[in-house]
Amino acid sequence: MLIPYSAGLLKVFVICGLFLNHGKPTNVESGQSRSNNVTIVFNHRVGAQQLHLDSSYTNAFGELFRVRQLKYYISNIEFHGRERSNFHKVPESYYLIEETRPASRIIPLSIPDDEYIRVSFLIGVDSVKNISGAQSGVLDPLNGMFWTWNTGYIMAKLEGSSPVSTLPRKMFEFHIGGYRYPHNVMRRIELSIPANLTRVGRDHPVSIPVSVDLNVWFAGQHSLSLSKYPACTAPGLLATQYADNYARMFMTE
Amino acid sequence: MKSIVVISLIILGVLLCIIGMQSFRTKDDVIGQPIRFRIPEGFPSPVYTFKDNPLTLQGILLGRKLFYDGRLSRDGITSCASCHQQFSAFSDFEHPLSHGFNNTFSFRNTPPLFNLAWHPALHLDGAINHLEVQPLAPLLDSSEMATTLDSVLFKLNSDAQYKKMFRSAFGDSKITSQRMLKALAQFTITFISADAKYDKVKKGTMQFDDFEARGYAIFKERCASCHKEPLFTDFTYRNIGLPVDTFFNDYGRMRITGNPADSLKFKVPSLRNVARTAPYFHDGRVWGLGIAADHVRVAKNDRNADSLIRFGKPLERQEIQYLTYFLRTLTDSTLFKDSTLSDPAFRPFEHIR
Repeated sequence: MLIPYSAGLLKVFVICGLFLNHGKPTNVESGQSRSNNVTIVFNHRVGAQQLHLDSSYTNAFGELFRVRQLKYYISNIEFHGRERSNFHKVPESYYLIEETRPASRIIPLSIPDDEYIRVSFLIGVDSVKNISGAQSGVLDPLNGMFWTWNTGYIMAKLEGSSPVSTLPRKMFEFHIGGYRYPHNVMRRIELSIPANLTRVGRDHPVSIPVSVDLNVWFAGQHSLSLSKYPACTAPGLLATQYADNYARMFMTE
Repeated sequence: MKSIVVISLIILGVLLCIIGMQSFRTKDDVIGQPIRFRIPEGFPSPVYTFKDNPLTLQGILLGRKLFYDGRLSRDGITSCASCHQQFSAFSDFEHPLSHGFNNTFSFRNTPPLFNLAWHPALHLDGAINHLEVQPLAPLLDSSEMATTLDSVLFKLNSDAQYKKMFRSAFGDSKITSQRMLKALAQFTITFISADAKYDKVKKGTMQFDDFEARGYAIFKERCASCHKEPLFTDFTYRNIGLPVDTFFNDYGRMRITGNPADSLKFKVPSLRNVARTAPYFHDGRVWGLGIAADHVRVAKNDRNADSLIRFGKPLERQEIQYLTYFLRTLTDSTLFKDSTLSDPAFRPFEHIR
C-alpha cells in the first residue's frame, strides 16, 4: 500500500522540482563566465600616420587640422562564417570608442569557437535604443553622446581646430546623429577578416586590428572640406553625408 | 491508511503552496510596493510601456522629491516645480515664457503636465520621443536649469536621504542618471486629469448648464477633430495660422523633421485645464481664453493654416462665449489639490522670483 503512494508522491516531487527552477532568471553574459577568444582593436590614423591629439595633419583638401576628440559608438556586432547560416550576433553589444581613452579601443569578445570570414558592426546606436527611454552604462547620457533637445544619440563625434575654420577659436565640431528617415545616419560596416585570423578558438584567441582613417571623414564618398563645412551638429542631409564618409573609414589591415 | 492519506495530503498541500508562491515571482523581481497605473474610464491604452519602469510607491516618492528639488539646477533653487506649478495644472502660471538660470528666458510657453502616459512625443515640436529622457532637456539647457548631469549626480550622491530613497526604489543606493530619470517619469506619469465637470457630465453625475451645453455642441462640431475627446488632443502637429515671431524664428515641428511642410506646425495641446494655463499658444502670445478661441475664427483667412480651420464651418463671434463656458468645464481641481503630487516640504506657492 505504501509503495504505490510513494511512487505517486515521487512524481509530484519531481514535477515540483521542475517548477521550482522555472522562475529563476537565467543569466548568461558573454565574456563573463567564458574567456575571450576574439578581440577587435581599433587603430586611429590619418592616412599613413598614427593619430595623436597634439599633432597637426593635412587633409585631402590641403587643409591643416588638429583633433581634440574622436568618439563613436560601435554596436550590434556580428561574425559571419563561410555558410550563410553560420553567423553569430554578439548580444547587447554596445561600445563607445574614444581617442582619449586608449583602453576603449580594445573590444574583447567571447563568441562560439568557429571559423569566421567576416565581421560586421553598426556605427552608432540602433533605432530601438534611440526610442526606448533612459539607458545606462555605455548608453548613459552622461557620456556626452545624447541630444537632449531632439532625442537621440550622437553616433560619432569629431572635434578639433583648423586655421581654415570660420568658427570661434578656429574650431570645428561634428556631432553626427539622427535615426529618423530620411536622415538616418546609422551605417553597417562589413569587413573581411584576414585569412590568418579566421579560426577563432578558446585555445588560440585572435586579435583583429581595424584601422580608422580620418582622412576619409572629409574626403570619402562626399567632398566635405573644413573651410566649407566647419560644423555639423544637427540631423539632416549634411549629417548623412558625413555618415556616408565615415562608413568608409574602417578597414581590416 | 488514513494517516498516510493525511500526511500525503499535507505534503502535497505544502508543495502546492511553494509552487503557488513561485508563480507570483516575476522574472525581474520588482523592488518596492507596486502601484497600479490608473487608466480613467473611456481613455485609450497608454503609449508608455511600464515594463522597464514599473510603478512603485518608492519610485514615485523619489521622483516627487527630485521634482521639487532646486538642487537639480545650477543656481540651486530652480526645480521642475518652479515652472510646473501644481495649482496651474503644472504649467507656469501667468508666464508667457519661463525664466530660468540667471534671468534667461525659454523661447516657448511651458506646457501643463498631465496624462503624460498618452503622449507619443513631448514638447510642442515633438522633440522628445520618450517621457524618461524629457528632463534632460530643461536640466541641460542654459536658459532653464543650466546644469550638467554629473553635477546633479554629485549633489544627489552627497545626500544620505537620496541614497536611502534610491535604495528603497531600486534595490541599492547606486545613483545613476537612468534611475533618476526613471523615478521622475514614475512621478510625473501619475498626474492624471480626468475628473473635471466635463468628465462628471459624461458619467452622468452632473449636467452642463445651458451655455456650457451650447459650447459643447459647437466644440464637437468645430474643434473635436483635432482636440479629440477624452484627451482633448490627437497628438498631431498643426499650423493654426500664427505668424512666426521673428525674434525667435521658431518654426516648430520643422526643426525636428527638417520637412518644410512642417513649418510652423506645433503639437495640438490638450485643452484640459485650459482655463488655468493662460497665456496661450506655443510662445504664450495670447492672454484670455476668449481671445485664444477667437484666433481660430480669424485664422480662417491664413493661407498656411490647417485645412480644417480654413475650410471647416466658420466660427461665429457670438459662439466664442459659449465655447469658453464649455472650456471652463475642463478644469479639474482634483489635480491641483492632490496632495500626493504636492511638494513634500509643503511649499505650495514656491516660486521665489
